[in-house]
Amino acid sequence: MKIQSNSEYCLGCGLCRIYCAAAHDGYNGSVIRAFKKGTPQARAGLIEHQQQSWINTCRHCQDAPCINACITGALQKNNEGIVFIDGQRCVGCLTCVMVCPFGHIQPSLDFSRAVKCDLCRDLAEAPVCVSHCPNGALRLIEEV
Amino acid sequence: MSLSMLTPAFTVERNQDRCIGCGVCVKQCGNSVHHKDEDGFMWVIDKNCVGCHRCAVLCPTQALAIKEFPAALRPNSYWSTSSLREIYAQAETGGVLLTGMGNPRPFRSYFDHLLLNASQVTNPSIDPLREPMELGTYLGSQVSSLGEREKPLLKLDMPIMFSAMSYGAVSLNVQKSLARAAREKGTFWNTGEGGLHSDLQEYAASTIVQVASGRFGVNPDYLNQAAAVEIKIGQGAKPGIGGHLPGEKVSADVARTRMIPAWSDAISPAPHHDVYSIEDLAQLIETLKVATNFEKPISVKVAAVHNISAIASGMVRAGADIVAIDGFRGATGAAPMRIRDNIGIPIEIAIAQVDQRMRDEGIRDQASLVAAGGIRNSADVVKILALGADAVYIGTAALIALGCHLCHTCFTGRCNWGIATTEAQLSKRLNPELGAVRAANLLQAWEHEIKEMMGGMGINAVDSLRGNRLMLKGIGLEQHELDLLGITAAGY
Amino acid sequence: MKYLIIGSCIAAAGAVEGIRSIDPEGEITVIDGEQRGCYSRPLISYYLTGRRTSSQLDYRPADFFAQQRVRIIPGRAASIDVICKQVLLQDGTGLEYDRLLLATGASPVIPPIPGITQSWVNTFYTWQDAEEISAQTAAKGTAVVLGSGLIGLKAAEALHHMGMKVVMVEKQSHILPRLLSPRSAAAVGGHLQRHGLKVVTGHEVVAVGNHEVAVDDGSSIAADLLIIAVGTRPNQDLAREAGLQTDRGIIVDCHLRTSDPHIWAAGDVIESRHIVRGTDEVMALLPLAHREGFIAGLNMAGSRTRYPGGIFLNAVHILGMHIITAGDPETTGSILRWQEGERCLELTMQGQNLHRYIAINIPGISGPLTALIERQVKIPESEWFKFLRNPAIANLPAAYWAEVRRWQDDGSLRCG
Repeated sequence: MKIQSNSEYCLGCGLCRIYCAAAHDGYNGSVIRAFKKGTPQARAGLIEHQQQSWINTCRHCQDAPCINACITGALQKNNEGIVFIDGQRCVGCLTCVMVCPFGHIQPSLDFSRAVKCDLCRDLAEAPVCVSHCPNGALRLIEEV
Repeated sequence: MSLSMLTPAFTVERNQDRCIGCGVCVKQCGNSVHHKDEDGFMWVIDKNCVGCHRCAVLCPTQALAIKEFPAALRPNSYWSTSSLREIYAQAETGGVLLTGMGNPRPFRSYFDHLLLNASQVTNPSIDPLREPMELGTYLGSQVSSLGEREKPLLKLDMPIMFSAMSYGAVSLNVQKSLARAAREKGTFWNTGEGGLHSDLQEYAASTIVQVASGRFGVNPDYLNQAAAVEIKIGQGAKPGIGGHLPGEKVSADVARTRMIPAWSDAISPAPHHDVYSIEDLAQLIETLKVATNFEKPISVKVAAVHNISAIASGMVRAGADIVAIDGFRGATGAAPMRIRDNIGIPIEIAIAQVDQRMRDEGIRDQASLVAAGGIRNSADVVKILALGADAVYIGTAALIALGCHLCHTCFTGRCNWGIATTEAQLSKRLNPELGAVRAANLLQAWEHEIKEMMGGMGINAVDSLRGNRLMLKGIGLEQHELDLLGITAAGY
Repeated sequence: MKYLIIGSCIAAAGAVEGIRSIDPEGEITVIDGEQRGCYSRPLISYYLTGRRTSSQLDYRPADFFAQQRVRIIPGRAASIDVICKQVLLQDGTGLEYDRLLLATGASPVIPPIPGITQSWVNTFYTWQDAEEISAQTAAKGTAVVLGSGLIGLKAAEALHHMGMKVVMVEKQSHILPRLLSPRSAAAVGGHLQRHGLKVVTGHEVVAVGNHEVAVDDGSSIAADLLIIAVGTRPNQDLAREAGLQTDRGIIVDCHLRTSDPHIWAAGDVIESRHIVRGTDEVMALLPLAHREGFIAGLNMAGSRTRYPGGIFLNAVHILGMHIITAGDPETTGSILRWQEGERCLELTMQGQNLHRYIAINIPGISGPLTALIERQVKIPESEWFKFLRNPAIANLPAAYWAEVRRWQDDGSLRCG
């Protein structure tokens, strides 16, 4: 599974990042609470390049370099094909950041660990970036 | 220029307890209302706001409220605030007031004074979920004499089609959305007068192509690949005047589709200069029939004007297979405000009169009658069918389904919803995949509702609803209005 | 099919995963010399400071080998009989194999310095080293760290955290000589000094006395603990004695097979292709070890997966400073620099190819740069200017984004 970003219809509004940030780190999806009270961090980047924009999110690679590189075994792939970081194991060495060819994995704001897209695997619904994209530019595709 | 006396029409209220400074409003407003400084300070220019609500809808924290600007002038029921604003604007510019979409003035809506019937005891109502309910409709001439080849008909799975909206007036993504929805729901969309874009040729079988006074994009392929051809004489929003697509909107793509030089003004003359009489119209209809080998129904679209029944009768006699009548609430991408707001007659009366006239003259079966202009919901559809229409065109309702918020500024070309624009950065805001689903959903919802209402009346086929004025009663109408509509008052 | 793996760490774990992805049935046996299971050596500095418990050193969940139906044999291999396809353990047990993987790793180099074998002198490589150091640091005295490579630096940081006074002695002219340029090393050195670590560069330890370390400039440092971190050397004796081809490490082909058709090798023990330099190097790096192990595992189970090689790459954080570098450490191209306070970025270009970058305190942009080095994407220097004004992912050169699109379109990406 991965998210496909269609720059033909991406408006560059950045709502994906806002809802992403609010969906993680315990903010439970409340945008106001996340941004007014906390220090939310979006998992995905928004790239604006030559009049086009798209979300720079995890491709959940088959032979994921980040999983190869992880020194603690925190980076894993679950049986749905989702590459995720076990926050308990991560020590923030950022080796995964160094090897992600897309520049998707990023340090957390306090540099204590790495963060990445987990396709909102804790939620029952589709990833929040997909469900909140106002123009259908993001799609969750099942094929691996 | 001295100080403008125009106060803003709207004011944008930002709830600071909710605003997170994300800047989505700044990026989304094509009218430069919202601004964000480098230090994060956010500010607005109210006077640029057209009230399209793009920012308010996309704001992730619902921090924005668009309100009418509280310029409380001394109450005056004759000199309304808008009449003052119009004068200030004209005093500043010296120009004709331009506007978009349909007539917003508080004229009586006859739809809102019509009530539908339902079966009780003396005849059974029908549950459309359990029993068959036929909404299929054929448009075209139903008469053919012995030995004559059969006349071509347009088969609709439901009596609702999408109105003509040209590429240029609306974005290509609007046309793609409507074309896909029409194909999926077994009905038709209409190119308008701007030609058929190459991307849309795959939908040709669900397409009605228009031939208008500018003849943009008309060629034998254009005519022959379509399901039907429509001659556009006039439209409800601006009867009697032509069109003018300014050169700056004629991008290379629009130019290719319209078959005119890029960046040149696309001018549609007020009349067709080869149609000055019913006889001339007959020639044009015959020409198109010959060009399409008598395989396509020919529709003629006119605005509902004062002597519409005589005009319609003439059109049928000139050979039109479909008579499309656009009421005074019909919308437009750009029209002079005085024209839009003061010309034409209500579609309800026009259809009642034309249907009656055609029946009286014994030519009702020679052509189908399509009503357009101001159909807001499925009840309006049922009522106009009962008044005599075979089918309806919906334009404004379809655009609203795609996101239009009726800000009436289509003519600026800076539609924040990606609808009335050809600017790439704006038109991408309407993803036709989503648009097609929304437009098809609207048709499906109305289809269900129409079936429910028909079932209640004990009618199981739309054929039995057409012109069935016994199903209508008037409420709050004067006797002459009831007479015009051919109905009786509630209680009779 | 009988698979035998000598070694139980990263490459072994990778190999087990590789084999099992193809062959769920085969019998896998792992010879675990350290008898500590599969743990991650880079984590021992975290273990030393108490940020990780012993069980948190595990590279894979505790039941990993059991889950993968792997038999663990504690003990050390003594020799390989390539004719009979059998490995003899030190206790005399013989283990037969159809396919053998050498994942024997490396060991710290002990320089021939007089007095270096004393009990207060330690290496910093295994969890046992950490245990021993932990037992000796109760006194909170002075620690001397010999060598300022990655291991030396992490040891110094851990000891510093534990309250020891730390002196680092580096033979080369600057710290992290294999990773940093002189200029970037100066920035890192300054950072260490500000945190109270003493760094002596350009000098060697010539003798080790009784809690005293003699330096070649004639001075001596009183020390309670001496850590040796001057590099590692592949454990290739087994392979050499079995007659396999070796050089600085075990020589393997592009499928990670040794000169014996039934024996593969992966991890810190092999020489593999450095993509940028085009030479074979011993690259003792965890990310490569896992991947090599995985690919060797695939190939042992019958696949013909090619191992393209790797590049030197390191991510290290030391006392709050994040240093990431990748590419050819000996490159001599033109250098493009960006600096803003404590954050700096140094790109070394050979013509239009990026050959190395050093990113200090700006880790977020490193992934794409690594990819550009690995794939040797040609980008003229001038296209880097926008990025160098504001190094952010979104400002990467257009050629990078074109490359990303190409990976996606033609599926040439090894992932995605």
